[in-house]
Amino acid sequence: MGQWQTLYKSLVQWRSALLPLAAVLSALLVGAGLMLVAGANPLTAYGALFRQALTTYFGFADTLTKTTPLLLVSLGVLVALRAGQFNLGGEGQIYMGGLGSVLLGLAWPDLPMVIHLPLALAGGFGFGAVWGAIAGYLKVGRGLNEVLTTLLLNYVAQYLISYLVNGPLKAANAPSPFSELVAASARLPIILSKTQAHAGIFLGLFLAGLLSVAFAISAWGYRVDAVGQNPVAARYAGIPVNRTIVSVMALSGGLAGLAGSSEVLGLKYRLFEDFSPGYGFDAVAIALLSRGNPVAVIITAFFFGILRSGANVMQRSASVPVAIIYAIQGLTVLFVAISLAVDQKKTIPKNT
Amino acid sequence: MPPIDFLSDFLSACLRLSVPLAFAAIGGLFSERSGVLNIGLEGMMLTGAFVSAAVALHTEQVWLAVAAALGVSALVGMLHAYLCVSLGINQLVSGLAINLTAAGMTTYGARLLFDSGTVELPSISPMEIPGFSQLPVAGVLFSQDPLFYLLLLLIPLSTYGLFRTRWGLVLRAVGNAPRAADTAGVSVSRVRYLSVMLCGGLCGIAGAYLALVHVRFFTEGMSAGKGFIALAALIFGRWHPLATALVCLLFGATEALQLRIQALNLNIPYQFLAMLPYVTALLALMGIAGKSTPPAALGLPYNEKS
Amino acid sequence: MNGLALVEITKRFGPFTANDRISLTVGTGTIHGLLGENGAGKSTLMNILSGLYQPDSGKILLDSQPVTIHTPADAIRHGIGMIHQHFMLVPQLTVTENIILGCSGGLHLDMKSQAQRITELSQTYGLDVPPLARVEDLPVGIQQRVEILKVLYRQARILILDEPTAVLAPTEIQSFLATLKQLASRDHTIIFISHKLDEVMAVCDQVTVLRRGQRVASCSTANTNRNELARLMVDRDVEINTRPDPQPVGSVVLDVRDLWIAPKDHQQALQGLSLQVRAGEIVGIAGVDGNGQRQLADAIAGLIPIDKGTVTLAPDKTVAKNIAYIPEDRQKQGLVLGFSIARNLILKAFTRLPFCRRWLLQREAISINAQQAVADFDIRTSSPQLPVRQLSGGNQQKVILARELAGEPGLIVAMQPTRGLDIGATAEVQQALLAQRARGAAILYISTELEEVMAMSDRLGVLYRGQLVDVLDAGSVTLEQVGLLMAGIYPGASRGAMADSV
Repeated sequence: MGQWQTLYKSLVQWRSALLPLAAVLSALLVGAGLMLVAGANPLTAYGALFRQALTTYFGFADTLTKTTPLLLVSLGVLVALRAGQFNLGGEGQIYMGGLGSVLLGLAWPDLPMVIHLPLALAGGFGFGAVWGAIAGYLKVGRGLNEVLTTLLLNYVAQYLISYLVNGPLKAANAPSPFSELVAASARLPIILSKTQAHAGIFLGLFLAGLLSVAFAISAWGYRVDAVGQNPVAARYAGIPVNRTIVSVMALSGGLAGLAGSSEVLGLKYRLFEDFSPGYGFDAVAIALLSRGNPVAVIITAFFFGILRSGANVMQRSASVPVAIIYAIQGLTVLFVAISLAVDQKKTIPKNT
Repeated sequence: MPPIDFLSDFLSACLRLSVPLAFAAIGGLFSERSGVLNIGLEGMMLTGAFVSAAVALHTEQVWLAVAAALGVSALVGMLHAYLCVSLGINQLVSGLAINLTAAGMTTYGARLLFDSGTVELPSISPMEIPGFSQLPVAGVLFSQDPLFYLLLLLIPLSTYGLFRTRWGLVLRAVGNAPRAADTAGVSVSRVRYLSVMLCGGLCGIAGAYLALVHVRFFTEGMSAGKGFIALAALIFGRWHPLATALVCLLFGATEALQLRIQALNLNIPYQFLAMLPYVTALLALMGIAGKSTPPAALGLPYNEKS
Repeated sequence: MNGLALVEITKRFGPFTANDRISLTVGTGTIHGLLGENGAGKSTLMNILSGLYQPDSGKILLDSQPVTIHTPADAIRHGIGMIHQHFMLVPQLTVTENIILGCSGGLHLDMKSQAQRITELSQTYGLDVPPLARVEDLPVGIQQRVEILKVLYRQARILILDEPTAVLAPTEIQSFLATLKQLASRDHTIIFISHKLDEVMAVCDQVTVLRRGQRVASCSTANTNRNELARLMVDRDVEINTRPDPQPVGSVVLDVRDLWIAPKDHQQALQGLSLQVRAGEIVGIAGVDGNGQRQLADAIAGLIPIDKGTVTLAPDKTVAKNIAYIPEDRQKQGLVLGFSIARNLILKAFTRLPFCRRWLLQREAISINAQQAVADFDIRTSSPQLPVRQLSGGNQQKVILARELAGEPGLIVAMQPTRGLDIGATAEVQQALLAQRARGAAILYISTELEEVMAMSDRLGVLYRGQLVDVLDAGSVTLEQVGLLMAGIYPGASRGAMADSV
């Protein structure tokens, strides 16, 4: 009996981590059901997916490549969430970040990498930060819910970039819309030879660690959490709530911008239109799944990276349309939402 | 193109582009008036579009397709209601979950059902009202499809229902002060469930309209943010059916304008025109900020203590 | 037996027993008082009767028949109507809409005829209301009438009134009590929940006293007196509202001159308010809730912009310039419920030494501070790392006090500091503030509890419609004088001030 009790106790403690896991498993299960509907074998499909994404050299490199932008933009969404803000504008901020990095990456081709690369990254961060700050300012200055404004700004950013790569930024003699190559000194170095996996992942890991520490022990982290959990009490205590919200939205946009930078400076070395296959929305799912923990974001982003990376193989070997990945991702968010509710019901004690 | 024809054509396009917005916005109106935030309009519309396309393709019965779209989207609405009302989840998260799931599932479904991606669908033919439809320019109003006329009926019906019936009174009470409604003997959950399901149904019709009338095929993500524009219209229209519908007309007009201006060869890159509806929506929100008050209990889960 | 009977009603919330086998009987056409301090269980009991809560055990009998009341709708069907302390009205709807909400009838609403019916109803009971006015535009006294008409419209025979005089000026209370007597004479049964002995003695036929969830006595008011009831209500020799000894006052710490704040969203404006608080004195602000108290407190704390006039702190710079602010709603305005006690204690100081060095929080210093505060203020908790959400109301208030009073503030603004606290916690809060007074702090004590604010203050100001109508010496003023001022009745007041008093 004693062993079962200790097992139960540890399960209860780990519930916070288990529930998201249960959500993911449920989504995968439903995904399996969808595959059956298509006449495919889920075991073959999932087997191919995970095998390709995790165990093969090129597959793993591809997973890393896809994890990088997910990690960065999810950190952005997470930071905003902790301040009580719902940043659904990851997509737009990614595009603006890509734009910023390309502009700086194309200028001054003779700068040494040590200066040029950080500069180009900073440019991506900056452009993304501005895009995020717009929504932040509209919220504190005009009372506009950031959900709607960030969503609408997505479309504006997308069309802006589309215009630019079809027009002013279009590379000379380019057969389709894309920009010139950025200078070699502004490119993120490849970390696995003969693949596309680049150093952006280290940037992401570093920032995740930094944010984790910041939230745990810094005054800034305390302030963000206070504003996120009770902005009224924070205001009464003299915390500059409006300033905090705008600056956090800027940081959030900046991190998402870095995701765009990593795609432009690490993967393609050019700006394309529509280069983000929905990373900004995955980020919301990832941030929610991670329950506000920056380190958990790493794991969750990696999982989503696996899904995206292995999907193509899954289509080839098990004849399951790639689109099922989107269905699974959507379902993950759904189940996460349900798991959140289940958790809330159990952890808030009844008040008198 | 002669000016009269241009105007008729433009008006016709305006109407066609506004109808799905208006259905979705009025659906959102009922949901939000009962206190349930619904950013999942996009997902519900997409579901409606997909379901109507699938049913129309396989049965050739357009009205069955519309009914199916209405039904399935209403079920999606029920899911949102379950998450928000019974489970008390953050309503933004729930709406987002619905959008993402709908996007994923419809894309997957489309790949399975419509192999070549875009398939021509049987569509709803317009209904001509004899006599009136011959009028210049305004005649366009009288040769639209039945769903348009349904919308025209829906607007006054909603206004009347909201402000002049007992049911509307209960709805408004639940959205502003659910505790007060509860103590007056009203079932807050039931009202919210019904409103959100109604919202789903109307969004389903919006989606069906998109697929069967407007474009006549199904593409992935074909709702393209219309659900969010509908939300902006709702805020700008101060949650009033007539004002909201007129705002939808405005937003529809910007999209129609965009397409017409391209044809006029004015040398404006199409992307800036494509941005127009979204930028207009943003500007509208900025302009109305502070003067448009949502239902007081919007977005707040209500706990009925045991 | 005619009437209402509650038999052995028990209700628990987790480990806390709100109602412990309570039984009482109320005869038809009588007014029955339910007395008890905050936290005694009165509201819980009545929420059970009106269908908001379900009892864990016990029965309810109407005319000797047992009834089950699962929802407010059930209660209404049995003729039970509750008039809550915090009104259950929809502010955005009209009076008529609020009254007919939830009642069955045809789908179509003819507002004119409905309004007519409401007018007839209100005339029958002598409770005049403007039927087509929006509730949020009405003064509180009229809103209360709407609340009462709501239950009368549903033909309630049993009316439960929860602290109904809390929102009335002293001058309005008399006519309100007369209305109750009139209702009783029409064979309505009335349960009158209150912690105000005088009112209960004045209007009730029978009274039941609750203490800590239990019924300690039931008798007719003819057979008892104020002192006996007071003794029964309080469970220990705890003194509250003790008058402090006079002491010499120091220099001016807070100087408010001609303060004007514009009205916003149905909030009261401030109109040319002037006030001075000196070191070592408590200036009390009395007034019915909603006359500008919140705006005054927020303006002094620098939380809202001022339109005209000045708020100056420590004009001659002898006292430290920090302000302590004890907010009205401790959970919404004073604490981050998800944070631990230790983290809440540093909510104002987390960017400064010793809690923060080079942008990093200092665990050690925060922990020591927490232990100190828990000891000094007797905060009942097993660990300062527990989230503050798990503390009782009284302990939560003590966390706020510990935080605000820590820096030896020169000025303390206390907004309803004892609201919702039981008598033990009330005493502790008052003692803490009196100790600050002795130390030389200047205290602005804003409260709608007249007895409390009169007892705690050295000088007493009365707030009416955003104006400070007078500032008096609290030791020599009478309840009647203050009562009149709270209703806006003072020498030189315009007739307009009487507009909404009955």
